[in-house]
Amino acid sequence: MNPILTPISLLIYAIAALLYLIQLVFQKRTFLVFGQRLVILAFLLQGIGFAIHIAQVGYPFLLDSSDSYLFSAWVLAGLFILICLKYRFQVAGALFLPAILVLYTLAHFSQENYLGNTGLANSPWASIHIVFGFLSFSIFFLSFILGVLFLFQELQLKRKKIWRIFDKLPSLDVLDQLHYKALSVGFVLLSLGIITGAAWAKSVKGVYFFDDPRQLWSIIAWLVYAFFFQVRFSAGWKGRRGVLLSLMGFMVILFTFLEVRHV
Amino acid sequence: MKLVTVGLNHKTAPLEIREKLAFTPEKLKEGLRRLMENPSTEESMILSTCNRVEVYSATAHPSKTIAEIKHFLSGFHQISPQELAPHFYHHVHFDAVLHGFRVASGLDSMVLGESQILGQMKEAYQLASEGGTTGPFLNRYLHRVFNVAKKIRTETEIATRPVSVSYVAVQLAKRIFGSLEGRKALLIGAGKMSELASRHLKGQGISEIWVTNRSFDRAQEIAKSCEGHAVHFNDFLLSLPLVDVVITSTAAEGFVLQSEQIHEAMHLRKNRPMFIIDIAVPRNVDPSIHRIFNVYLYNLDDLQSVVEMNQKERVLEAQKAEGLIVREAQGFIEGLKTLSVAPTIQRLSKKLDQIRRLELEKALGRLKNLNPDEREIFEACTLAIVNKILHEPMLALKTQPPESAPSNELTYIEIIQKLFRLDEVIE
Repeated sequence: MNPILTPISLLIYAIAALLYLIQLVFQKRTFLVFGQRLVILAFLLQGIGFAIHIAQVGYPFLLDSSDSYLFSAWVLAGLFILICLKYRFQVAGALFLPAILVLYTLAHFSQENYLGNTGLANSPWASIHIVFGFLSFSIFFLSFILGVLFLFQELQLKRKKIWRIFDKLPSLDVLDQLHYKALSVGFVLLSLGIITGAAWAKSVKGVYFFDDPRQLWSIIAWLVYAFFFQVRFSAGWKGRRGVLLSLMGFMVILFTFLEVRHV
Repeated sequence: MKLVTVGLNHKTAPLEIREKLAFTPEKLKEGLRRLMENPSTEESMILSTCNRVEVYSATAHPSKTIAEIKHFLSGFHQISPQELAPHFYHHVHFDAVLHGFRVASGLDSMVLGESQILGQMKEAYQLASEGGTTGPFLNRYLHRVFNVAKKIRTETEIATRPVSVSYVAVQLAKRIFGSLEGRKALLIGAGKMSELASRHLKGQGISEIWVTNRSFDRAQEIAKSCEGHAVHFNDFLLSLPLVDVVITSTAAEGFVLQSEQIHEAMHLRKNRPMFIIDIAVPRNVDPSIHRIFNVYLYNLDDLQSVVEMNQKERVLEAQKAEGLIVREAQGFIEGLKTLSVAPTIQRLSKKLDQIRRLELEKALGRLKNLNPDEREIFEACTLAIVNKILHEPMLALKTQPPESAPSNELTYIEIIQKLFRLDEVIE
C-alpha cells in the first residue's frame, strides 16, 4: 500500500479517535465537528492511496492480507461518514475510530500473501472473492458496532438511568433497523464471498474446496446469520436477543478473517 | 454611559409582591413613558413576567437613576417604598450587563435553562423600541443579550434534557421509537391525567389513540376530544397487541395489567417494542412486566427520578454557562470602551452621503440639459460640501480619547449618535 498516504491517514484517524474519546468526557461539540472533518480527510487520502495502488498493480489487486485490512478500514470509515450524514451518530465515533485503528493494526501484523507460491492468481476470481470477503467483513464490523450501541441504549432504558455519554445515541428503533439492514447486506456479500471462493477453488484446483479452515468458519458464520434471519421473522427475535445472536455471528466472522488455522 | 438594572424576582419577592408590581402590556407603555420623564434616564426597557419585574436603563448617573427607578416602581403601582425596599436588587455596569445575560439564558429562572424568558425579553425590547425609549446603548446591549442567550443554548446542553414528567415520558418514548409519528397508543383510565396525556400524544404525532375506562361514557368523551376510539373496558386487551404506547391512570386497586397479558400481547405483536407508562397511584401495572423482552415500563417514580437526574445535569451545564457569560460580559464592557470611534465616523459619513445622493438625484432630475462635465462638477461640489462640514467634528471625534469625558457627561460619540440619530442607519 502507499508508503506515504497510509501512515498519514493512520495518524489522522488516530487523532480523530482521540478527539472522539476526549469528547465523551468533556462533551464539547467542537470536538465532534473537528473529528468528523478529520475522518473525512483521512478517508479521502486513503481513497487516493487505493486508486494509486490499483493503477500500479493492475488486476488482480488486494492480494495480500495487509492491503485487504486497510481496504476494510477504508470501507468502515466511509460507512461511518455515510451514517453520520443521516443520523445523530457522531458520538459513535468513539467506537468506530478505535475499530478502524484495530484494522490498521491487523494490517500491520498480518502479512499473508493470499496467492502463496501456488499460482492462484491465474484465476480471474481472486480479487473478486477478496473484495466480496472484505466488504462483508467491514459491514459485519459495522453491524457489530451498531449492535453494541443498541445494547447500551437498551441497557439505559431497562436500568432507567440515562448516562451522560450515551445520552445522544439514536433511538432503539433506528439502531435496530440499521443493525438489521447492515446484517442483510453483509449476509448477501458473505454469500457471494463464499460462492466466488468456491468458484476460485474450482478454477484453480478443479474442486470446490481449498484445504483452508476459513471456508469452514465462513460457512458456520453464514449459518449463524441465517438462523438470525429465521428467528427474527418467525419468532420475533427483535431487539436484544437478535443483537446478541448477531454478536455471536461476528465472533465467528472474526475467527474466519483472523486466519485461525490451528484451532 | 452605563447600564443599570433594578428589579425583583421569584428569589427576592413573594408572589403577592410580584403580582402587584407586574405590568400589563398597556400599563407597560404608560410606565415606559413615565420612566423616561426622569431627567437622568437616557434609555429604558421594562421586563415584566410572572417571575420578575426588572427595569434596564442606560444612564450617565447610575445611583441617581437607581433611586428614580425604585421611586417610579413604587409610585406607579402605589405601593409604599418601605414595603418594596427589602425585595429590590440593583446592578450597575458590569454586574448589570452580566445580570441581563444570565436572565436571558435562563440561568436566573425558576426552571434552570428554560427558554420562555428569552421570548419575553424580546417582547419587552420590542415594546420599548416601539415606544421609542431605547437608543444606541440598549439596542447594542440587547442584540448582544439575544446573541449570548442563543450561544448558551447551542454551546452548552443546559436546555437539552427535559425537566418535567410529561416531557421526560415523551423523550423516553422517542428514545425507543425514534419518532412518534404513526405510532398507536392506548389510554387505560379516563381521568384528568388521561385527557392531558391524549393531547400531549396527539401533539407528538401519534396516529391513533384508543381510550378505555370502566365507565364507557367517559371513555367516549375523551376519545371524541382527541379523535380516538373508545373501547369497552372488558375488551381493551384486544387492542393491546396493536399499540406501541400504553398509559394507565385508573383509580383501581390491584393491577389492571398483568404479566401474562403483556406476554401474550407481545407474542401477538411479534415482540415489537412496547412502552408502558403507569402514572396511577396506587400502581396499575405489575412491575415485573418491565423484565419482559422489549417492554419498557416506567411508573411515576421512575419518571420523577429521570427528571431529577436531568436537573442535576442542568446544574452542571449551568456552571459551564456561567463561565461563558462572564467572558461575554467582559467582552461587551471592553467593546463599550472603544465604542467606538470608527463605526460612529463610518455611520455618520454614510448617513450624510445618503442624504447627499438623494438630494443630488432630485436636483439632477430637474436639471436635464447639463452636459457630462457640468454634472461632474456639480457632483464634486456636493461631495466637497459634505466633507468640509464633516471635517471638524471628525477631527474632534478622533482626538478625544474614549474615556476623557467626565463620567456624568456624554462623550462626543454619544452626542453625535444622538444628534444625528445614528442608531437608525444600522442596516
